Amino acid sequence: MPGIVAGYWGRKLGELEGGEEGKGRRGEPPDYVRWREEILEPWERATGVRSRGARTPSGVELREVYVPGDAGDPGMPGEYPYVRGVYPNMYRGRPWTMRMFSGYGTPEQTNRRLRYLVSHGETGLSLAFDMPTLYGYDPDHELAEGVVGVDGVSVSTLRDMEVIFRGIDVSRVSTSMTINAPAQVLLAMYVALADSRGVPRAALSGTTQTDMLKEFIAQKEFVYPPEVHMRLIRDMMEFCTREMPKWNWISVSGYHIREAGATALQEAAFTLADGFQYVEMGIEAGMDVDEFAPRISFFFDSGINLLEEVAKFRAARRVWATAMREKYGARDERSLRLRFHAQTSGYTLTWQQPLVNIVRTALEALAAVLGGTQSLHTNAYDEAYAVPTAAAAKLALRTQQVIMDETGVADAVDPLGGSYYVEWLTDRMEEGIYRYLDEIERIGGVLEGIRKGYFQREIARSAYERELRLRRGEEVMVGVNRYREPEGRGSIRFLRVDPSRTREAQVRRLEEVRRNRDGRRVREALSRYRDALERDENVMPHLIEAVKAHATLQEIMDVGRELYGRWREPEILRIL
Amino acid sequence: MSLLDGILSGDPAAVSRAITIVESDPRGEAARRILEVASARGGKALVVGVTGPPGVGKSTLIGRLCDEMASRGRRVSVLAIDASSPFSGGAFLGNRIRMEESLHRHGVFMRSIAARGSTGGLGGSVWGALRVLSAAGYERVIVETVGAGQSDVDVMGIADVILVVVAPGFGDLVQALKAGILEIADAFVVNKADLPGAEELARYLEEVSAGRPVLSVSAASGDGVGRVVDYLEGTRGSRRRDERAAAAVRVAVEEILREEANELMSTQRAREILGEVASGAVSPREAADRILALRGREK
Amino acid sequence: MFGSRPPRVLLAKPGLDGHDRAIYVLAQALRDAGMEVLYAGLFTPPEEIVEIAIAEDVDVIGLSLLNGQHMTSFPKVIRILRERGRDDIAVVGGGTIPPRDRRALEEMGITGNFGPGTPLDEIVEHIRARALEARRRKISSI
Repeated sequence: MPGIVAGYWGRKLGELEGGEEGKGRRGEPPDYVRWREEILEPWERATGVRSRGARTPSGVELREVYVPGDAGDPGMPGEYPYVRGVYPNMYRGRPWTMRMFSGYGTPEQTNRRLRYLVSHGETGLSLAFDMPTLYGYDPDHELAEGVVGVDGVSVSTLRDMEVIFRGIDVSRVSTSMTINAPAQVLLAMYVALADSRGVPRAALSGTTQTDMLKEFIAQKEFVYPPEVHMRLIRDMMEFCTREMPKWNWISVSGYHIREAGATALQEAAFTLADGFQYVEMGIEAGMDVDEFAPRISFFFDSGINLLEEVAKFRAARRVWATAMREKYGARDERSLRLRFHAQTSGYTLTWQQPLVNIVRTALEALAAVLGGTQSLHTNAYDEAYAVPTAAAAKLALRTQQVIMDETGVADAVDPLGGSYYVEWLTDRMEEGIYRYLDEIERIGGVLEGIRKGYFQREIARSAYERELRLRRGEEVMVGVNRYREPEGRGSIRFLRVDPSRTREAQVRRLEEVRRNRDGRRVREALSRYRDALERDENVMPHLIEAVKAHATLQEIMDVGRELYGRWREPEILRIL
Repeated sequence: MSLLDGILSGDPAAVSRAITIVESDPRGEAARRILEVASARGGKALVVGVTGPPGVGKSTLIGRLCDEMASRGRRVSVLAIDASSPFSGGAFLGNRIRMEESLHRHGVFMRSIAARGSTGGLGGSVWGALRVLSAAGYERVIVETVGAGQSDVDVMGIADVILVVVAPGFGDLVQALKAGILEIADAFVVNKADLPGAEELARYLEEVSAGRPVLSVSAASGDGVGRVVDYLEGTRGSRRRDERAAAAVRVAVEEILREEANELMSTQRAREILGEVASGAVSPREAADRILALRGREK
Repeated sequence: MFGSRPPRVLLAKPGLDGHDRAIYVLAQALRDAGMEVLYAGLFTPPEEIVEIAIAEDVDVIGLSLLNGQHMTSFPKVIRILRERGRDDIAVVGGGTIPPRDRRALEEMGITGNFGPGTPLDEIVEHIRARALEARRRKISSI
């Protein structure tokens, strides 16, 4: 295969472990050894106060202090391999995008929210979908009971999409859709909407998350077997590359991997492995890597261990740039730059003493900014309970504004660059990432790892180990295993959406659409889509026709369910 | 309806509770009564052992076998055996997820059994469960083990026919074969036959199988599953049933003797004899004879 | 009659919810506490969960949902159990369950309803207690 080198990760790892001269990547530097023997140890003996052992949550053993010999040269911002940031001037040029995820209830409610945002000057819209939509079911399906409109907006036909964007000029806003298994259908609806309004497809800008690999690995919002979803993603990639040059057809996501229990290191490694898998998919489809790779972007978690997070972001940038150039032969700078959106961690939020969550989120947001994020979502402190209230969401946004405008951390690019500790930790994360990538290659690649349950087990094990550390008090969560207070639950107010009313409204519209559409046209469009699936022809044009005929999301997704069946997870526990 | 009537009429709740009883306290009064009634009903299910290394797709295959057997009119059930943790005694049980749809579709009864760390007791539990399932009218029982080595050999002692499942791309295959799984097979099933390396694997097995069938399937798509069921319907069971029966009985005998030994050693008289050994007055062998002479007296 | 049989627990997610971190963590904790643990997988309908629970003769069904569907799915499980006359299988819940729903579920006999950040030991001990209670109800006459 052109541009794909086998055994690359192992060789890269060998290079790093062998130690490049002057980079001080391995062993204890002489400055440190001298200091420990002459200063630290005598002092500990004299005072009887000994240093405790420490390691990062990803398991990196830490010394008490780091010295010049520990830090390699990270290069400069905007310059390969982009450790210090993908752009030369970073936040001195413009602030990161403060992108807050929103959308719930009926298309009408979401439309009101979006128009409110647009009228306040926001041009980056972000849509969350409800569970039935995410799994490709219509609101009248049995499994949809109790969750229609709860975690996001409910969409099943083009009609819903039209309502959501009523009064909004889709040629002027950028729309981010957090949608995966049915991403191709939602994209088709957005295109159909633009077509009907005479907006050229090339003018559409935005993102569909589309990252199914992390669904199989972590979030488990899948429908078909992995190879079927990969093929649909390939069709989207080809279609977008050809017709929608401003559309980010994928956002490779580590967030869900982390939230499922992975360590920061596993998050970075598995997400990069997924990213490279999509690159190989494109190359195998016969495309030039620089044709499609510039549109690949990432989405990471920002956790509470501040400096490990910073090191994770920096290491991920270096691995991506290096492998894209050396392994996949990318030449376009845009293919080499790892651009990412970050969201503060959800699993670090606690029910106990919920106001403490505000502090956690602030520190996690700071980590993302010091790590060079391109955009950021800050969680609201009440999200351990439910969808956030407006006041809590506003406070979360204010947190970002304080970091940007008051703290001064955005006034110099990569302010932590050159810190002995941060550079050393960045190197450790990089090494760990290569170690995982090598292991994944050995077990037969990402898809084989998913089929064997490799990732799922690694994550389940890490999640449990963390719980055990919490139980033993080796890791602390304030208010949970230290500084506890008597029962504080129910002390804050939170938002409730009534799923039954939303469902009623959505089912009513769905029935109306079904009554008024041309049944024969729907059947024919679905059958052409089915043929395209079976003939391995690009499905996007057929999907666009099907949604224009008002085929429902579930009708379309059922075509694949009939052909390929539903995916069932491999056994995770039994061999754990 | 009493539990016994429930078993005989095939009521899943009764079958389930009966298995709990024969499994938890195999030599208690209730278990004895259940097994008596079950044996009187007769009925003999063909017991199909399915084993092989983790990850080769046993569960998917079993789901397919259930589909195929059920569609040929057979009443099918599944027993899945899992190892207990040697540390806590706890266990993760049952690889149901991959076969749940098949089970549900055809009303296949499935039950998971923990090995509880004992080697011998397991054979007894599984045997008891098989009697109950036979009495409840199941004609085919698939017994699945994780393929971890010696424990499978024990469980498989009571199977009528043993399928060893393998797949390309498993480095630990050689290990599994070394652990003795190769010898116990009546037939080999090469799963994931559509993957690279499957043909080589089948050829290799044909060389070493000494005439035993090597069947290629893709459990994911269902290809070849019909041939496996054809084989099972046509076989009269293992050629080595006598050997296996002997192995299973030996395990049971050893277990009973071990338990009896534990009981004897804890009696007051035994402790006195031990004291004499400790003081050097009596040899261990002589002490053993004297303790064995207590059998049937102090209980 | 039940010998020294360890508590047997079936874990399940009866809804459109792939968030299985808690289920896998809890499964490992229960195993390490000496229990026999089964997992019914994702998106298992309440009817199937009850069928599995009966076939596997478990003591406790542990349900987890973080998608807000708990008030729809949890009560279905307990209703089907009651229809089958099985008060010897206890039901324990967990997930993102607001206090008001917690009280309502408790009244239906679904206990625990643990939220994020609950210490593992608390959940494990609650399940053990409910298992013993259920075990006492199990009919042992033949």
